[in-house]
Amino acid sequence: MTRFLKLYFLFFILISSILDAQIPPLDTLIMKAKNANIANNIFTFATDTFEVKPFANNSDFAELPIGVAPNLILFAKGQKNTLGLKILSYSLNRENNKNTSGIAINARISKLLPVDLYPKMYLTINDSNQLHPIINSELPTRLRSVYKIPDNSEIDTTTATEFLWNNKNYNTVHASSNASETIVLFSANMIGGFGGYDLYLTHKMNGVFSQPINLGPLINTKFDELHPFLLNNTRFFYATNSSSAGHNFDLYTSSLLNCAKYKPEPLTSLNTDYNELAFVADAQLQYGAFASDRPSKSFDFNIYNFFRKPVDAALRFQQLIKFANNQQVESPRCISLDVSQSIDIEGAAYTYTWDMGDGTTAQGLVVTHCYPKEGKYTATLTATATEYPSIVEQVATIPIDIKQNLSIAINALDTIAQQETVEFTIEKNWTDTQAEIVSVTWKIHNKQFATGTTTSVLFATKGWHKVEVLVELAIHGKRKVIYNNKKVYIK
Amino acid sequence: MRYIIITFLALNFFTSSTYGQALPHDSENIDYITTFSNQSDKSYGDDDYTQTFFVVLPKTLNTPFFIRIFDPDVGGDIDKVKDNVSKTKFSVYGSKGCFTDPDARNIDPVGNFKSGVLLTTKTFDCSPHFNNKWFVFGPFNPKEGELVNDMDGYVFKLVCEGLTGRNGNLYRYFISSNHDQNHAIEGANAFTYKYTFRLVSKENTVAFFYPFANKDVVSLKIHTFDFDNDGSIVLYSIKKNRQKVKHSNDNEWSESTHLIVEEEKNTTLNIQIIKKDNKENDMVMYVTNQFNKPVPFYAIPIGGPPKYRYKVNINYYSK
Repeated sequence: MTRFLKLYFLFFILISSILDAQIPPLDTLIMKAKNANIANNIFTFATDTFEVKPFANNSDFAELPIGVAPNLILFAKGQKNTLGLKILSYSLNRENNKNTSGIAINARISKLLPVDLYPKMYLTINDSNQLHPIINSELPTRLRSVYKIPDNSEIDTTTATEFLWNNKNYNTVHASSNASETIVLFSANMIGGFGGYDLYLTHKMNGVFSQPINLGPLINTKFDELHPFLLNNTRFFYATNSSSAGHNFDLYTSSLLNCAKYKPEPLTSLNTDYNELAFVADAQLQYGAFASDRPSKSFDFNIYNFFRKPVDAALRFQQLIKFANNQQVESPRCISLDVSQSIDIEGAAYTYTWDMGDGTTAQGLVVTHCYPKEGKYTATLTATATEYPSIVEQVATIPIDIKQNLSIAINALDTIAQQETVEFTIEKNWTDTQAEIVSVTWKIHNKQFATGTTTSVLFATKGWHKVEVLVELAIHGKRKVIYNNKKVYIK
Repeated sequence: MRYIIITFLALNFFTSSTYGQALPHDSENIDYITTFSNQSDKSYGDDDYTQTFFVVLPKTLNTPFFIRIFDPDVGGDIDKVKDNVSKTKFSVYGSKGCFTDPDARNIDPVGNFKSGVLLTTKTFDCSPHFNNKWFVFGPFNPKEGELVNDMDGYVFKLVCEGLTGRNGNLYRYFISSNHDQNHAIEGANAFTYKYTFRLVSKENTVAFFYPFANKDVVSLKIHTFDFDNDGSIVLYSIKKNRQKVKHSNDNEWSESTHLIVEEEKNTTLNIQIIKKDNKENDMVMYVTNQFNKPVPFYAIPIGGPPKYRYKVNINYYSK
């Protein structure tokens, strides 16, 4: 376990070196577009509503999705009298969830998939080079992952490239990589894990993939964690049978940035009392698919497509107004400062001393402090080399802004000409590290509703009009709602 | 505390317009350049009794300059004295080939390492005339150097050779615009491919060396000779937070190889030597790349001394 914890810590340290500035932090995933609604907001994925429809071509054999593209689903299907699965691709009409162009069976891989899916596709096969169905810890079958099926073959797994971390002593399954193929997640039952199948990470540095790193005890359990799906460089989904009473598989999501700190979120919109696994989705999480053995016309595992429902702004406003008594909420007064991602594991060891800027000091890689008063402070970090005490360096200064309250203002003209479109924008008085906006919902003149940080309105009638906004925010996971309104005069 | 003060002072030198050239530079925090006479034991800390420096003067310099040498004699208070017959020769080379001849940039003084045109030379013995004093070569016309376009300047080569005897010559250079005083020249720099030097004789002091990794460097091999296991040697850069460098014992060579990651390419690295005790220690160091080509140490680091990139994550929360 000690070696295991070291590897886990190693993961936590190394992950930042590859996820660096090129990876947008979670909050920029939330509000990318100027008029962003919460479509990209992974944070609310667990509670957002999704429409789930069984795939029209489910059969009495097992179906498992492998990948999705705008109008296409790639999946593996069981076959009669054989353990292995066949890969099929269907063009999919997302409106009616039906195949539109006929069945494409065993067509060449590159023709089946858009270019951005093909290089990344990993398949799990058994010793007979057959595509393998659902994983079961109790099955002694030897399994491994392969990729880059040759283009001129009919999905011939015998000539595929072996996954780097395949090992004759354990199974490596369900590998999933990011778009640039620099990060790969996979599941394996290697010794030294938490038990059963665990999720591992390997990442490319200087052209070489690292040793697999266990994702740690908040993700991995003594049960099985399978089917990791890497949505982008940080967000991933997976299935585990650890949490439900009947130990059925459920879908969860977490982030490589903080899966060592925060528990994963269950996908409550998709999970049932039956098994759900093999989650795949598009990059914006607008649609995707998963496999489930919930009761249906077909037996065995079937594919279910899901579509994110458009936000009903009126309903959202109604839901949130109950919680919004104030035009401001108390600002967070506590901070945590974490330098652990800066550790050079091959470098010297240091003692880290923090001056919090208000007369208090603390030591350690991660420190917390609550400020008694609002104000602007500057925290400084000093590193002392443990082995070379003459080396003492001030290595960072961090500006800290403790506000009295968090509030929003509505920016717009006070007087607007009739029939002129006017833009309303919210302006917040906090930074994204203090609180992240979960949703913004507008109510215009008691009739119209809209979502997004900015909304454009055309007022047809003269006189005073009231524009209201509800901003739902999360302060370190705790939800708050701020309300504000503005009256504009249409002349 | 000395470390912090020196670091602060060193930073003052690293402005966008750099002034040179004291050798060793204050920022390196080493006492002297060392060249032993060729009959001395290598275990004293010099493996080849020769030290070559290159000085680059900016192309725009139109005024003469001088090369001042502090304590060039080889038998005085500062030097390592074993006899009274030792001699050391200082030579200045310029003109085409003084830098670009491949032998000039060898680790070892072999072949045509004295390439270029000999501009001036002088041999010093143990007589005390220049003990603790400055000797001046020059004036030199900057255009007498070799024009190297990559450096945007004229390069001169300074060669110090330990001739007869067993003494060790400890000395300093200053490239000055003035004959009688050390007046720095804006934009000047100096570098060497193999450094023989005397560490500051005080425990816990830190010496700094600045090899430059160009865009083609994939790995660096750091070679040290006769460090006497006198402390630690570490490699510091924007991506390496004092990674250990293998160091040598008495009269021995040691090497260690360090991968250079993408972010470190075209940057200056920092080799730091942390001394263990107060004894005198002379040693040799050089760095080669993956092609076994020597990498220069710059007295004034190109782009300034590196700083390891720390990242602090801040999260706000309510109690």
